[in-house]
Amino acid sequence: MDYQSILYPDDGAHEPGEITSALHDAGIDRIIEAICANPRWQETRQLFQVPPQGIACARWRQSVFQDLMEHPELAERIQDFSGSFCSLLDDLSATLQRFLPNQVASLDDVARMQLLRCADRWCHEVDSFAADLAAYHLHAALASFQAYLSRYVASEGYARLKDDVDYTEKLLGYVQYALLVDENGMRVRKYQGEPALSQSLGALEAPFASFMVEGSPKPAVMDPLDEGMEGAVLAAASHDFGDQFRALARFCERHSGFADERLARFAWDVRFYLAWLSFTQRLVPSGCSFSLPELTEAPCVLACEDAFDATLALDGVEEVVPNSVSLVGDERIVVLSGAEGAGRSSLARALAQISWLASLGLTVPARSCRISYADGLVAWSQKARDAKVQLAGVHGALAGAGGKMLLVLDCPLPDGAPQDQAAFMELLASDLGALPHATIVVAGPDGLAVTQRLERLCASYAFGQDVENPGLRNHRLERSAPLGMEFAREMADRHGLSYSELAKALADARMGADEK
Amino acid sequence: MKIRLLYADRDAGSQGASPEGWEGVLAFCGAESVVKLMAGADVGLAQACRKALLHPLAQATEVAYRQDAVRDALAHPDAVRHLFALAQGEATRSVAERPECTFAELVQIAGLYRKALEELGGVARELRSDASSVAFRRFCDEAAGLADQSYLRAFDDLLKELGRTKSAFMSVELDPTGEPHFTLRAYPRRTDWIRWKVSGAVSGDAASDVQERDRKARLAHAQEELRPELWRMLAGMGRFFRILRDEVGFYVGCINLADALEKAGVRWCLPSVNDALDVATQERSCEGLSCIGENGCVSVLEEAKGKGMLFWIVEGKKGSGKTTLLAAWCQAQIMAQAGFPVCAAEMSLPVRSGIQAISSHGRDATCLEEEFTDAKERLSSAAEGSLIFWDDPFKGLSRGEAAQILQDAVRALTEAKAEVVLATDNALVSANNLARRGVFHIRCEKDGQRFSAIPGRPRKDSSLADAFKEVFGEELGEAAGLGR
Repeated sequence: MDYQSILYPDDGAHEPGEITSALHDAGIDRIIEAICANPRWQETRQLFQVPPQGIACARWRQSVFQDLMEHPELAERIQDFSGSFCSLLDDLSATLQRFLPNQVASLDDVARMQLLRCADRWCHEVDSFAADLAAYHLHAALASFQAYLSRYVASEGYARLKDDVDYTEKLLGYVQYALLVDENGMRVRKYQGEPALSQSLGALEAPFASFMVEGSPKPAVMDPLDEGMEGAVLAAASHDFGDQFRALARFCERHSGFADERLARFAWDVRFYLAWLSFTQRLVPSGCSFSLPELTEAPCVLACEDAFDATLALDGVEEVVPNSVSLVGDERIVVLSGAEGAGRSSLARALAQISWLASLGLTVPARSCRISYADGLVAWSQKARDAKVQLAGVHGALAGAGGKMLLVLDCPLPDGAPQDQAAFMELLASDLGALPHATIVVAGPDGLAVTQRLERLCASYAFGQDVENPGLRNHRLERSAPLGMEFAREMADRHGLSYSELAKALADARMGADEK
Repeated sequence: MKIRLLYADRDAGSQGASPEGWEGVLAFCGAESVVKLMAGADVGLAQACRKALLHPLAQATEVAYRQDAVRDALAHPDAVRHLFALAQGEATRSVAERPECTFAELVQIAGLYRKALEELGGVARELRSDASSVAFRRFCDEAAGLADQSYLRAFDDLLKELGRTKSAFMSVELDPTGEPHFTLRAYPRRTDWIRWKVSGAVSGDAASDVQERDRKARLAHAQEELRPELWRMLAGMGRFFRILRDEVGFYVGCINLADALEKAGVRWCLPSVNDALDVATQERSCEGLSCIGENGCVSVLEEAKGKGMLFWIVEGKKGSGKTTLLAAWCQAQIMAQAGFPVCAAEMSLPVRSGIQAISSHGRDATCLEEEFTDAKERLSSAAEGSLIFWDDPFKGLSRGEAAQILQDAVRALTEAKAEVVLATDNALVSANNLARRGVFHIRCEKDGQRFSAIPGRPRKDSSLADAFKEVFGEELGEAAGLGR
């Protein structure tokens, strides 16, 4: 297959979608915001807002992540390439504004120099990136790009471009002139070996050689030289360096359109992956990790190990507790039961994030994951207990759910008579069981009471009260119990303050010092 | 150019990091109060004194080198203060922390440094004839030699070239991609330029329609190319002045400290400091020890002498001045090891290989775990000859438990020839060590507003018996004998 794009196996048009309320409830919008808060990745927003484009596209992207995760140094290299190439493309775009075909002959030396600089950077970037990339055995998407890049580097047109860049640069390296700037203007002549002021500085700083410091001043933002004047100066200098400037003009006539569109697009699009990896690396709370999910087209497949809510980490929560959830057999409804504040909504949000992100081809907030591909996400999340609002919301969610959509219901049981509530739950479970795709339901401490018939469709998960606090502080508080000397000795032992422990530590320290 | 006012073989700029936990030791003994007394509100001077305290000397000869110079400084306070003011003024101009300095600012600073170097040379030449210490004599020789006429003239010439704001002579090279790079060069004499023009050397003239802005930009580009080198030179000079400030600041601190103590009627001395060759047999003595605190100096110990003592128990009730005594002791030790005068009429002490301070103040039973961890961390690295101040440990444990743990820990430490100074109101600690060799007891008492620390075993505590009698109307001993 011929390489088209690093984001899509085909080259179709893919428009960004809207952030729906379901995506908002799942925290997807916050995740995108967090990514784009970094100025470097600001322009990737639209790429993240394109909804899932099919399982083939997701797998195409997964192949890129697979390579980047297997080879972190490759990810760094691609990031370097993308950064410098995008900057080059910006400069080239500005330069090419002046290189319309009918203007080439009339351009001044300044514009020609700019084009030469861009071409030099292009060749340098392409060569080194192609060489670096060639060292890897890559999966589908990057392998396809790798093959394309190899063909490009081996092409005759590229070889001619490089030769001409080298030749022209070599000639220009001989140009050195002197410039006198004063109130009367500027004068140009050949440089004749006058001493530099830096030599005087060196002599004055010599007595202070032992006080020199590392570092350097911050580069100042310089006013650009006037291009017209630079052209005049170069024109004056060119009287002494005619061969060099004629070679520059020839170069521009031949190579004003040297840029390759697919390479350029790669540099832009690959930021989708880099931005995501940068985001996940920064975000991962301790003990949690992102992973590449296994996607399947079979419905109601869900097996997540140590899933966590990425937005909790965004909120700066230090200790995020990951949880594992899976559907087996006929199960298609995940019921998350627990008390207020136990973490049910967070886990539901985590599962919604996993489904959406996996379908986009991204890594997901879980240690490992196997999940059905989903075209979309439907959610109803409401904390109010008003029955009318709740029922309307659930109704809307059920109506929206269908096809390959993951449904998440995160709302308390509506207020009402117990028998009515039971009937509602039974009805709800029945409806959810009939959906073609999996559902995540957040329930109260009692879970979702359903008949035995529907029970086989439900995978019930309950959060218990965290009654244990095995932290050391608890031990300390229990110290008031009559543990006496034994407890104190245990503490001394545990902290190495008993005679034997401390004596050993001191002997070790002395031995270490002696060895030093 | 070398300064070497603090060390015989190096400048203060090459001081490494402070010993591990040293800042904690300084906080423990209230070193900030000492710094305040030496420096007042002078931030630069305070920093210099703080740095000296943060870098204790490791050998008695190093201390002697400094004490010799301290005597010299005390004899020439005006010249030393003049040197400090000079260094202090220039140190504030240091560009090392100001990477954004413009070329014009750098040129201005260069001019000020040039003046300062000239003044430094003058002060050094004056002081050289009177100085008696090796440190000051060597420094004055170096400084006078540096700021000689030829150096200052070369500096003037350069300043003239750098100070051009409207004209410049530069060479321009095109890098391989055609980008121009400017190098400022010595401005040609006008006759040279005319000669070149007449001889046809000028290959072009762009003066007719040149815009002033472009000329300024070119001049700025050329200056920008030179700026890193100018910045580096001035950063080096700035660092010289900062180190000079830190080194001379130490001596100004000594002068101020001696003045302040004399005004307050507090006895002070330059202590006799010895290398800790055999800690167990070396004699330590102290007379008239005072502690510098936030509210002035407090006398804490009239006299103490000990030979072969490795465990000092400072005992007394809460508020009896135990912590102040430990702080005073610690202050004297770190000040002596930095070469400062100490607040004692006489003092003889060894150079310590390390000092640790552990305080349980502000920790209750819930912080016991933290206290254990802290103690383990500090104690397990105690080397032979190190000194450990341990204030009020394990308040969260029962007295018996605390005493038992301390007994074990101190035994391990003293066997490793570390010296422990322990302040406690736990009578069991003293009781456990009454008959042990190598243990020195100091009793802290408070009489009205007056604290006193007296060498000797703790007095018998009759407070409970008194209270018993007051409540029950009979003697506790008798009652106990009656089987009560």
